[in-house]
Amino acid sequence: MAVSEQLRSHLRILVRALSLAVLVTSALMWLLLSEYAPRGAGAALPKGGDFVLQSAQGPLDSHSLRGQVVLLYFGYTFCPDVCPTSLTDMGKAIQSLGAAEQARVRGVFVSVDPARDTVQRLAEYAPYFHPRIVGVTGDEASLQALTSRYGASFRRVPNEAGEAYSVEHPSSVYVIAPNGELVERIAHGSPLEVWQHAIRDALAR
Amino acid sequence: MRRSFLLTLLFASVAYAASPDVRDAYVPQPPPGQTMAVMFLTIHNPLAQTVSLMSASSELAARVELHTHVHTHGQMKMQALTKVELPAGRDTTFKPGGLHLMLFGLKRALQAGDSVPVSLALSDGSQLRAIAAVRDLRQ
Repeated sequence: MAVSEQLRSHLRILVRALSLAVLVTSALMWLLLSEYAPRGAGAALPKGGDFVLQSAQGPLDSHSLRGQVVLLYFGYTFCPDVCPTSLTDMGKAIQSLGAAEQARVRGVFVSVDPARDTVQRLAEYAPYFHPRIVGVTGDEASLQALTSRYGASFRRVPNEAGEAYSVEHPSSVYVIAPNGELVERIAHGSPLEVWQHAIRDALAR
Repeated sequence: MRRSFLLTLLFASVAYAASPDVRDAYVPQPPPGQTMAVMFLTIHNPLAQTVSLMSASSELAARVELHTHVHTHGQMKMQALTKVELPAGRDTTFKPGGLHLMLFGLKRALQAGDSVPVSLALSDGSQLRAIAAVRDLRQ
């Protein structure tokens, strides 16, 4: 009698602990998902669109990238932390895909610092993170027009402490589907699974 | 036996004379052609009062600056700082996307496995020295 009562009370505690665990886990999952979740069905996505930019191999026309998923990122090579982090994450995401998938993904690193980033410099810089990432840039006006179509902007920020300046730039990576449509924005610092999911979703379109 | 006793004594004396120390210092391997690098580390301040990190220097860089990032409305911006407060009894972590040390004018290319010495000047007049390991973050 006493034993079964004790058992019942133990069971009650166990059930409560389990429901609490489920509750906490779902809350955490929800937080994680809402933090990194794609903006969903193109709801709040800017219009994006095509571009022609310069690379060391000549002009890169986004029309020539149809059939591939494009991971578009705006930054600059003098950026010490954020750009290398994003490009390292991009490289790791591409590397984590199968060979056939990798062949259909291109990373495009657009330097918004054409005064310092030559196409030769970009050709040395971008592929360091992954051979599928190409470095491009353009003139100031076309870069401003392009970033604004992607709902972003950039500007030079003088560095009072030294002679070098830094550049304020968008922090997200834009995912363009094989048909040229902007389908996703990957937030800075997103985990690998978010990248893989976004790329595979775009590949399946 | 005697050596371990001496080591214990040494560690005990270090623990007694508690002063801020640096942990987990590293430098992501810069891409080819890069003339600057960034350093991340954690500074533990065991003191009863807040001290500030006033400046940093390294034999391998022409200049080291204290920086942080400001992330607003999807835009990322760097900001130079004149000092970084190290609250009493706490760890202050310099990490990607936040506080970092900027190394300008690298004296040579840095490869994974290299060591980068850094000297940190605190507001109480003391100097902290640390060695950061260069890491290839692509792996």
